[in-house]
Amino acid sequence: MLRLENLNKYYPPTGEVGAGAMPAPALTDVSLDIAQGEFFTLLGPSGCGKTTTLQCIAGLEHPGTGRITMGDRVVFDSDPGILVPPNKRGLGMVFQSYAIWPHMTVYENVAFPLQHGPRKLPSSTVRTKVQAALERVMLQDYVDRPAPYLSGGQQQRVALARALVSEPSIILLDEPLSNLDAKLRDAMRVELRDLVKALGITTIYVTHDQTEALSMSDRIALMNKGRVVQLGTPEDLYLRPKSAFVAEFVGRSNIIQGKVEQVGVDGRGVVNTAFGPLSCPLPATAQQGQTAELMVRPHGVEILPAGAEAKGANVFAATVGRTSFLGEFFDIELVSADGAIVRVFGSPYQRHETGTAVAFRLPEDRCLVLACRS
Amino acid sequence: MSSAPAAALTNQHTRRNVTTIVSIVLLALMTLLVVAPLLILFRTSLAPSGELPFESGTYSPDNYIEAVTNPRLLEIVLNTLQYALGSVTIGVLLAFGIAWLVERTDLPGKALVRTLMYSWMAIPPVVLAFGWILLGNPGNGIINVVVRALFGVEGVAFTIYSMSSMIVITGLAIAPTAFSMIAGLLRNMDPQLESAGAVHGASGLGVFRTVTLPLLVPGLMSVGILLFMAMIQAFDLPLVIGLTAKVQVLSTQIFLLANSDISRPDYSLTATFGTFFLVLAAVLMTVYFRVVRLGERFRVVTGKAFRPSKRPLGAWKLPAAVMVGLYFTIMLLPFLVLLWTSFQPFYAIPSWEALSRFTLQNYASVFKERQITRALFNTIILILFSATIVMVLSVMIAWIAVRTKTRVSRALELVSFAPMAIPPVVLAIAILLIYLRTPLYGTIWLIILAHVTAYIAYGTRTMHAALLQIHKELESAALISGAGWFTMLRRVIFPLLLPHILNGWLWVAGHSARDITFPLFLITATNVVAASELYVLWTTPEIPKSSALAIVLVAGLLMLVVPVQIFTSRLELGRSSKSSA
Ligand SMILES: Nc1ncnc2c1ncn2[C@@H]1O[C@H](COP(=O)(O)OP(=O)(O)O)[C@@H](O)[C@H]1O
Ligand SMILES: [Mg+2]
Repeated sequence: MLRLENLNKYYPPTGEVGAGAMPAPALTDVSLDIAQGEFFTLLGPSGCGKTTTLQCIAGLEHPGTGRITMGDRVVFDSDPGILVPPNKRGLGMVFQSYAIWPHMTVYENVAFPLQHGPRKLPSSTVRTKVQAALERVMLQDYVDRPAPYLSGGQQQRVALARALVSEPSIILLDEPLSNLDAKLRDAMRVELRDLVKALGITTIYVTHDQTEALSMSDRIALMNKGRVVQLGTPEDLYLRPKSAFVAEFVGRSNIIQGKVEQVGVDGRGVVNTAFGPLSCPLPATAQQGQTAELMVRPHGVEILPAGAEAKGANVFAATVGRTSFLGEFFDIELVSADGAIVRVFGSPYQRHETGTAVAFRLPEDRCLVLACRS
Repeated sequence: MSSAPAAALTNQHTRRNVTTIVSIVLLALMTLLVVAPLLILFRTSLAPSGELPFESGTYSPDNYIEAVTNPRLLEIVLNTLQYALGSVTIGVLLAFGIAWLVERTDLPGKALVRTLMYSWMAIPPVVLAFGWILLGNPGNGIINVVVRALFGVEGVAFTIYSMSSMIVITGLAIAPTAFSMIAGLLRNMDPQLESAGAVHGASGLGVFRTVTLPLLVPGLMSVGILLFMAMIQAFDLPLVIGLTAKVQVLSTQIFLLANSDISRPDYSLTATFGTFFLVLAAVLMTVYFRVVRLGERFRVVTGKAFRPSKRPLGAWKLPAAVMVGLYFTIMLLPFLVLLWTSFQPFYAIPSWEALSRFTLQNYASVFKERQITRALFNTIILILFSATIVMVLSVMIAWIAVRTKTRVSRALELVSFAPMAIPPVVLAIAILLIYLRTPLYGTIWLIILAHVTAYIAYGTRTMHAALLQIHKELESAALISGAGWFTMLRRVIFPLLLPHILNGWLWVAGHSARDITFPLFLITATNVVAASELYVLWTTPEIPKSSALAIVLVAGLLMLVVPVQIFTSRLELGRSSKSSA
């Protein structure tokens, strides 16, 4: 449905700051293939190029090189020189600032794409369509309200109604929830996904919030410094990150350094860590003597019942360090004899006093080797 | 940008070309308006005395040598600095006091104070000066007459014709302008910064000294320097008061050189003085930008709407209100005197006997005499055209400067800002030199051209600031919705800019109406406007007729300014801060 092929983009240097010096590229070789009706998320830290990607799709910015195809229509191609302007791309978009025009009413804002878009509709049709769009976002009672008299949440809904009113096949959302308070954000996550899914619209969603990305998306592209670093389903990203960056950006993680001690025949092996020898799956390329970087999620670590002995496979002894109660779980630091730390999210019903000795297990299939280097 | 072929076939491409062509055309126009006169000025300053730039083939530094060795130069420069520094100090202190009372205390009648201050900006300083002359001239000035009668003294108690009077009157006159800028500074200061000082143990005065004042200093400095620059260049009050007082500043000296009664005007020496003046103004400009940049580091002005804490005045309420009232009374006095005089057949001290001579004859003349009606008609043409042309050009230039980042747009920004540093008298001389031998000379269009050049800097600055506040996404949203370029401009940008455009238009119209610099330098029998006619009548002297014209001019300006101001503030209020995104 929507294909980006090898997009590259530089912004020209701005202002006096570091004039002359060429800034880092905003996008490097970004390629994505998004299916019809998919809820696709661009995730990444601030400044990684998410908005730039979205604006290239919208036609508000233009990549230096690359090609963008919507359905079977090429809307941008640097090579034969095709460039369809934003107003001819037939998209819906919700901007980070919402971009609600302050000099118009709610009705005028939402009706704009129908009145000024490529197909000029008769005003009776416009009225029914605007009404329907406002009902969809539950703002039917605010039709004639001037835009400045709306709360943040209402503005976000107006922006959404405006993006949907012309029934586009693709909708672009740039951090639409980041200006809302936490409660409203939780509610809107579900509502928003249900809405676009019900309409069958292909959705490109930009966010820096991993919870939003994981809970809403069919697939996620995680970006860093203008590149896509991993592309996959929410489970892929959370359970099978390909690098420490991905592991640490999507959820919290323990990164453990070690040395490959033994490489087994069945894709498993033993890595020597600060806690002791740890058996875990190893990549096929791993060789004995290499340094390995392992990842375990804090939720994946098991604290053994009090009094259990530190014996058996992948079971280690430690002392309880700093703990903090977060309501949904206990955040506990376990400290090994030589000071290495592992973070564990334990049950909120089970208190561990600082200073007590405990045994913990790193289950074999929850240990993921991210990289092996000689 | 990086992919030239990518744009080949599309709307986008043509659009980009349109903006490129428009920016090149604008740059050419601005260069012609701003840069060309200065080159001619410089050329003239190198020509032998008495020759015009286009006629002379020789270059000589004689004029510079003559100017530098002239002992009067230093005196004039010192006079100029003294005048500017004195009046700005008085104006800023007055304005700060009143602004602080209005914005940060529970002074009664704030709305009235604000309205009076803003309307006051519509009143031409020359008009004020004429009023003050009637009040304070050493012969039959009302102040002197009253003092003589009260104390039985002989001679002159007070004279308007001195440097110090000129400074005080200018200070009073610029206070409203300073007020509008300083009130903005105070309004935009986050009160939490002050609260933080108080919470951490500082007393009321301590907070003012250690938090408020240091935070305001950069802002106050930049207001001060901006006004200082304006006062260095000021021409009207120094002409009306200073000429009789025999205190000359740079601008009046240049006027005298160009309008000598005794000999043929010496344009090359005038141009030389003009060049000196230009350099002085350019240096100040640089200082101004240094200070502004320094101020940005503090960035107190966040643009958010705060509700600053209002300090109760307590027992000081009455004295404070009386002081503010006194200021307005003083400001009103010259105006009242003019009003009185405009109903008299000849100037007379207010008395019952004089009242019996009440006449409307002066107003009848204003609307009947051909010369004056022509001046009024010309003024209307002047105001409408210069304000409209300035705003149309400014919106385009600011648009290009903000939204396209090319070398042409940067050059355009620079050239259109340059007139800020060109003193009006210098520009007037330069324009006179260029157009003296063209058919444009002697027409009202030449004054319009001069005003467009002089006020374009203000126009582009304000439009620039206004456009920066319009979030780019508001434009993008229209494009995404399928609107074309012009629809976007018409439906989104123009309505959003409208209050700023109207305000800018008013400012230019007001300044265009009050200016006497260009009309006097470029004056002929046919292109006289109300402001220059006012001066001519005054010096003739036809005091009552001149007073009537002044009243008509002020009334006309107030009728224009007040309704539009109310309309725009309503417009802005309707779109309160919340969603400007
Ligand atoms: N208009 C612009 N001009 C210059 N640089 C820009 C512009 N917009 C974004 N950038 C730069 O490009 C990079 C990516 O920005 P953006 O796509 O906005 O990031 P994100 O949306 O992921 O936070 C950043 O380093 C940013 O500073
Ligand atoms: Mg962004």
